[in-house]
Amino acid sequence: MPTISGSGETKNEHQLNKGVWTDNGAPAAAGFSVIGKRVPLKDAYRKVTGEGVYADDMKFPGMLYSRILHAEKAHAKIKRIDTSKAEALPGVRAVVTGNDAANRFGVLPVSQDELSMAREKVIYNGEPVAAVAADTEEIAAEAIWLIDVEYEPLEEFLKPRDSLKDVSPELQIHDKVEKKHPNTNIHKAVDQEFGDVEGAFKQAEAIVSAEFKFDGISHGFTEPHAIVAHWDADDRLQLYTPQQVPHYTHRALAKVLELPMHRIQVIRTMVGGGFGGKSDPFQHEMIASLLSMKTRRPVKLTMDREETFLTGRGRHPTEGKLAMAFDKEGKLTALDSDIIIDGGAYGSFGVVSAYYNGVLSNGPYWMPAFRYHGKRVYSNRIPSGAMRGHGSVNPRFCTETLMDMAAVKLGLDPCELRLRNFLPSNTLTPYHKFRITSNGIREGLAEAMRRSEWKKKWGKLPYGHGIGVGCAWYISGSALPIHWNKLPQSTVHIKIDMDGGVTVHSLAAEIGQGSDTMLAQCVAEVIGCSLERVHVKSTTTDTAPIDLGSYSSRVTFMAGNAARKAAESIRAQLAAAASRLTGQPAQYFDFAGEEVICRSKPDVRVTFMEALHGAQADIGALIASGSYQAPPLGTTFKGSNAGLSPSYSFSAFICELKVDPDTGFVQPLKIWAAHDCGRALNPLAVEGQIEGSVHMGLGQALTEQLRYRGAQLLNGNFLDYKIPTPFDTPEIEAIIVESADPEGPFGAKECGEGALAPIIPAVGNAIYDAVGVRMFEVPMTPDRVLRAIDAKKRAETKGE
Amino acid sequence: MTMLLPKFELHQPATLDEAVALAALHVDDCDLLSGGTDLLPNYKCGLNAHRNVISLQHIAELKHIDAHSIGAGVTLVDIERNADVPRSIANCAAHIASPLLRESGTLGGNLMLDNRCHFFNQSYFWRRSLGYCLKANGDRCHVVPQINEGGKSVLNDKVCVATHSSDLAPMLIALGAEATFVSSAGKRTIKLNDFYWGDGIERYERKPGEILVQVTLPKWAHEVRSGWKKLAPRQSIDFSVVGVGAALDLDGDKVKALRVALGAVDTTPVLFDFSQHEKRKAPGHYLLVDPYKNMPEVIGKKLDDALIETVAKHVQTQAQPKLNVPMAPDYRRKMCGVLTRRLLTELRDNNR
Repeated sequence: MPTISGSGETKNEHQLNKGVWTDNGAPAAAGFSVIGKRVPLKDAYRKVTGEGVYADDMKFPGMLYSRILHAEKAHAKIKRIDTSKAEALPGVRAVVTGNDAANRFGVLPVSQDELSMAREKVIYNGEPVAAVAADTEEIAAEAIWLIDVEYEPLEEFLKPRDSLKDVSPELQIHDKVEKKHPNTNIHKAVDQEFGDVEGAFKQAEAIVSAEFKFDGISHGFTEPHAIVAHWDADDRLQLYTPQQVPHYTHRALAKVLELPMHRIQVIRTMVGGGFGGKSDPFQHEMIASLLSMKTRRPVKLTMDREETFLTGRGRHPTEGKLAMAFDKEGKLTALDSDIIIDGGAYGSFGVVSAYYNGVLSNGPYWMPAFRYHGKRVYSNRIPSGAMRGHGSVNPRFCTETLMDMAAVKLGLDPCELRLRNFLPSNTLTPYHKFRITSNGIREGLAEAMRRSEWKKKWGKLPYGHGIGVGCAWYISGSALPIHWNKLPQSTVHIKIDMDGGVTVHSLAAEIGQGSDTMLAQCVAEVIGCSLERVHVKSTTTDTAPIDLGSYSSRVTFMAGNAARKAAESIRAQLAAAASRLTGQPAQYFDFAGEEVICRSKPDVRVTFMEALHGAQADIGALIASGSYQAPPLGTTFKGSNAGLSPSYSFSAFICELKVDPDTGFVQPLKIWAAHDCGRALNPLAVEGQIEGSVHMGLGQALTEQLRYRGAQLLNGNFLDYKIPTPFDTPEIEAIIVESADPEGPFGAKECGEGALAPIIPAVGNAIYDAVGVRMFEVPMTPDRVLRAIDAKKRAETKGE
Repeated sequence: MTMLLPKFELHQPATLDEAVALAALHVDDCDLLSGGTDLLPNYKCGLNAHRNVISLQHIAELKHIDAHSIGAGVTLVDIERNADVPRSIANCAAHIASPLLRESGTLGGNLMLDNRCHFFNQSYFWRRSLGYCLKANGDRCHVVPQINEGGKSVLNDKVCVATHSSDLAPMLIALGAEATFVSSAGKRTIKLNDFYWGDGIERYERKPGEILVQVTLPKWAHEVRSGWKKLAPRQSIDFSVVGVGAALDLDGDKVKALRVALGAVDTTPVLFDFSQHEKRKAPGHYLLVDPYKNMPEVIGKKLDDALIETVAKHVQTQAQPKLNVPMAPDYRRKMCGVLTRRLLTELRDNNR
């Protein structure tokens, strides 16, 4: 039975004292000593005091500065590039163009379609074309405008539907496209049909359908892309980069630079926000490396905000037509969805996005029949990619809106309709065989309803004031690695020497989500030491064992499990030493509170340090390795790997808001956000993730959109790209639902991404409750809301 | 780093006399800097930077504020917190930009704010990609407005329609404020409404070398009801996409005087003076808004809901926002009416 806690019930009483990382005696979960404590993140003090070192803060002797020249055309042949004037500028040390690196790369092995810099043609406004390394940033900035590029424009593909057309090879943005549509600009098409969809719609008691449209959005992380590349005296490349996935960058660098991987070290710098936007291997990483190899000097490359927007990888602009069928008991009987997503110029994670936009609609409700036609297209716009809630967020808005419409049609409370359709715990979904383990969504929704006084409010608030619900689920780590191989997905090493410090090595990237703290908690819990002893080294590929990094919300589940296993191996060594010291059998020892305690004779105990020094006799430092590999899951049809995860999180959100019927402005008043994360290893971090997800989701719901003028991004800055300010963000009550997962570390599942999707439909459904209009376009900006209100008024006047 | 400032010489005079002398010396190639919150971002985008920047930050003479006059160097936060100026002015200042920016931004900076446009407030790369515009380095306007010439709408891409986005300007204009300038030629005082005229480039009539010293309010500004409403995409940080300031004098329930000033819908603030005493002198063909065309009779009438609706309709009908700042023009136009109606209703129903 899941348990409920969260910000509405408990208050944050921890504090940071002078940089000493302490939990101030906050209680742990029952049966644990460290797990379940409200622990401030390990790097928090560094961040708030400015002590943290980001790549742009780094300085090296002889360091050069780089600037990139970006394409001024969106689709054009490059007739000529003349770099001679730039090279002649005093202080310029090197200029590189596409001719300096021919090998293509990309995060997915099936979409190796990126070049370090454009060759022969450019495919979006902003694509890197050339770059300069110079003694100062000023000189570099001046030099790029001395590079002369002559273009011959080609027809631009700016609307996703234009990319469906057959075109001549010259107008294909990439050589390699979807096999089923060889003459188009379709990157990937996914067609799936399971169960009797036609029959379900024929026999339905209620059918709901609508067409939806979503603008593209950006991650809006605080730190712009900034890196330092250094081809050092050992003829090795050192790349300092705020990567979510250092390992994939490591692989891509090796391919592009034609170096064995061991001659490259990727060093993850402090990440000033990622949200999926720092998880591709990037062109600027290749460019700085090329410049450093050419000059044999360190090269810093810091982008400005506009360049960061142009580098992109945000959520796909999406158009979809979806329909759902229900029987007379309100049971969902079929979903039929047809979705086009605009991938922009590159493949990026897009093949996965194309699948996720469909298959992740097979929850959190039981889906008896399912049809999906999905297309991801190339266009001459900023590349789309993976962003928090990857591939699930936009279709989730569609299905949750349709659920609400169905509730109206069937005369049911929208929460009641959802309760009738939730997936049970411990089951497999009917067709994709997604393995559902623990599932606390019923308890979550019930608690959100109770706290929000849903039954008193829904349908009963005055005009302009409304309440709405949205539910979701999400993968807790993709079960299959991007590069097919038999290596574990996460490996963690632990080293403890006589100083008593516990060093944990991992390549799971701390990107602000708290992964270092999580690893420390998992290790400290198992070996019973204090958190202060544990030092996590998760930055450098030379010392850290491979971990696939921070994407697909996988780190707690996978790296957490690897850390736990490594710690168990250390514990066995300490137990053996305690046994030698006390004469009690090794399996009789418990580890907690810096002591190793005999279970049957609690007065027989040794300190952690005594056990450690005992264990070190003759062998020196203790070392251990642990790893995690997802078990075999799923089924066998083509594409059935997509969406597989060892576990799934579930969430149920309720939003109360006001709509100004004269201006169309939406003012969220309060959000009750219930999220089932398995066990909350660190409730403080879980609440932070839920609140952050809600804030980010509200941005997409109400104000954020990438706006274009033709092929050019119109709002590539933080004044015109409108992330909600604190004044725009309501009180958020994070409700933690704990349903222990059998396989997650100490029962944990994900909480970093799944909590984003439900807020957007909760807002849309609350708008309906407030003013009676359905929003089918996201963001739900004031002009769109007002247009819907005015259209409804006109229709009503006509009707009278 | 990375958004680099162009090189310029920074002058930091300590007195107004020194500043006037410097402004005269560098008259052809200088900008005045106060809080820098508008000028420096524009410099970083490479927009019309000059080789000399005269900082007015250290000039005590510009920092005086009392009930009737506000120095050009008074920060927005000091206007916001001042108890003596009309509440409408404090309220208007309190909603400009963000708390942090209001600590630096000044009255003078807000009144001299450069006009804004999607095609102007962009990086060098961006403007180079599209082709430069009239307001910086180019010879055409990308907004391509419909210009009213002799009652006829014609397309004209040779007039800059960048939007005037100051909030304090329309509010102060509604309250009949005057601006005082000094230069080496002497002192000059001009009604703020007469100061603003022209297209998105010219936008005001500042004579060579002139420095804004202060804004003064007429006595009646304290005696009438006045208020400010701002519409912006977010609750903080954003420029207005519509701003409405109003001054209303009632004789019993009848309108004695009514001045409504719109911000962010034209190249300058637009005053609707329903007493028609102060028609704007601007060359008509620059402006899309003609406040006096079909202006309804208001003075002497009872300010009931119907009259408020008439005024709001008129303001809405005449407003001509362009597609060059956030939010669609037709929407912003409609909001001119909504905000005017709400503001006038509040001013009528709440005594001051």
